[in-house]
Amino acid sequence: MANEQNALDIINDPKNRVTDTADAEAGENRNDAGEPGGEKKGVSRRNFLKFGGVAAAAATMAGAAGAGFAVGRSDDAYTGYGRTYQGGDQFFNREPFRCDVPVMMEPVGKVERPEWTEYLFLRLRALVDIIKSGKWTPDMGVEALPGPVGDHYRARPGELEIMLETLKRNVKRAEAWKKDKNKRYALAGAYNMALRLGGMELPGHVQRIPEDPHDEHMRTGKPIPPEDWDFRGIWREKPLEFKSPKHASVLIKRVAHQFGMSLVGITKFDPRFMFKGLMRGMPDKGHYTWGDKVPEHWKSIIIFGVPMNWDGTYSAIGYSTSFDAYFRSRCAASLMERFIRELGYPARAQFPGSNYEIMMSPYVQLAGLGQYSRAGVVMVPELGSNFRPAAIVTNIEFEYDKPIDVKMADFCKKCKICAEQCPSGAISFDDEPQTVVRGFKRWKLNEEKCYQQWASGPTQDGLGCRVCIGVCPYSRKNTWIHAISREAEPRDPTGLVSQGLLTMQKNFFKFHEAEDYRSDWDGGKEASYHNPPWWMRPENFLEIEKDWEYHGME
Amino acid sequence: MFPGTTMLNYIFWMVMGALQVLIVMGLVEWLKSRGRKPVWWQVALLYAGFASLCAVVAGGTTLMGEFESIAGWYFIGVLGLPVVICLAIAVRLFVMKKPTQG
Repeated sequence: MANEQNALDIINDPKNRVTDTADAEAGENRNDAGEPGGEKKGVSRRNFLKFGGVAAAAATMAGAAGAGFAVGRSDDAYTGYGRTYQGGDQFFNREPFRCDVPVMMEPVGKVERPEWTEYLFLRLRALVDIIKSGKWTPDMGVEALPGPVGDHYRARPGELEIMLETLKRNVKRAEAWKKDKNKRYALAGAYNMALRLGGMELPGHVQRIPEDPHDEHMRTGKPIPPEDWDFRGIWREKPLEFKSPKHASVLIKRVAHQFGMSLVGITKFDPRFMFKGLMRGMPDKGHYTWGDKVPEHWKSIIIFGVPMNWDGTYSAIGYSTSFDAYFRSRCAASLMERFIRELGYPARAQFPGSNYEIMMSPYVQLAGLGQYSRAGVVMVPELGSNFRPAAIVTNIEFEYDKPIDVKMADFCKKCKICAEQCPSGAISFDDEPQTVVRGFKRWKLNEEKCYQQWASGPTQDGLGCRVCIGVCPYSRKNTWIHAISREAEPRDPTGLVSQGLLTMQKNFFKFHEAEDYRSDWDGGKEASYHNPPWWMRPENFLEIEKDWEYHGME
Repeated sequence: MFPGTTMLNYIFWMVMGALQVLIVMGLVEWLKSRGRKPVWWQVALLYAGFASLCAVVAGGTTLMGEFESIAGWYFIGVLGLPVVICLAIAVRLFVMKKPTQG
């Protein structure tokens, strides 16, 4: 066998040539350089292959480098914007990772439903209303703070002081913006406010998408209970029947993709994660009259979402905005709500900014879309935490999705990058979750500290920081190296892959000191993780003198 | 690779595929010219080493494309070094060895 000739040997063997004798002899006399022994000129076949092979290798290397760079730079690597109606952006196959109970959602104590005061923005508004009414002033102390907000803060010593300092910072930030001191954020701010005020928060409680029962109540002054609101516009005498719950799930998921959503999951409605004392449409949003009632027709919940703008999130703090994804997901919620009612079923949208009766994070996990992270927010395999969900509550019988465990929480135990980079110190460094939150042991974001960073930020509305999301290893783009990492890491039982990835993440990537992200007046450098994209840099487009430096990665 | 086009992407990858044929055939010719008798698994190993090196370079430039230049250079330096060492060993064993007599 060893002496057998292979195909190339046979081809190259002059004995096998069909050319004339002179050529064959010349071929035998070729030297290594390929020069014919006699008068034959030109490049020999052997030399063509030898040097052509070298050239091809060099070209391949250059091609690989160029293709890699193009993939990294391409907008196509920004996944999740629903480019395909088939849900192709939801590219992570969850089926091998289904489990019965979401990670960190196994009760360790008495499970309690959240009070409405646990929702920061409702609590904040109530606190500001109390101060404005003159019923309470900060010098009276937390013991004198009236109502459920007072109960909330008395149960959490020290947090009211943080919130009061935050309110002062809000004023300072707003004044600075009015005096045009944050002109470097002019374009980012305009983009943010276009989405917020142009698309979401129209004045006078009119013409919002989706319609909101709170607006209806404010316009009419009448109570709008869910038994009326959720059924409005249904014209069929009885709902259309699905062939099976599975058919219902397949259809609704497909339609959600059709409406532009990347992530979709469906789960049973679980009252444990519904706020007490909160029902939009009822007087005072039901804070003082609704109690812990649950509408009987709330049986199932459809969760869907899209990513926030990537470039802004990578940049954070002043350049990022959640309103981008808020606007998209609430538009889809409006469409889905209408679609379901056209089929004859009740539907009620739960959507951002603050139009909820439920906590979204547990439902995102129950619907099998993601897991809790160290930062206390939910992240999904495709997008990390860089997404914003909305939901529809209905009474359709679905085939429900099971939760997933893709070991993201295990990665969080070792990673801690978000905690190291958090400019407000709101994220825990605990190796294992220590906090029991309403009966579940998990990491919990210190909302008061986090919101203080928001208030200290440079934008006009002080709504956001998102550094934890930008620096998270799971928030990387959908390029092939990150896709391989995402697929390999949860399938490795030894943990070596995740340790290797984490080692690379911590040693290869450049991070700031956490305080560098803060505003200059707050002891920082107004650094960003990445520099802002070209279209958010005002010096590129406006007659503005650039008197600042960018401190992020280019 | 070529934003805004569809055909150029396909042509690029077709050319890249054709180049791989040339690389393998060229490698065989180099081995012969060094007096080696090409064995398929040696050729496959050498090509796999080359492909790995390309993958490392592509990974590094992908990170550079993501505005993570520092990580990209580290990626090439740290992950490329073992690949280069393995390739050097393979070349020493399969190419630089004394020509077989007879």
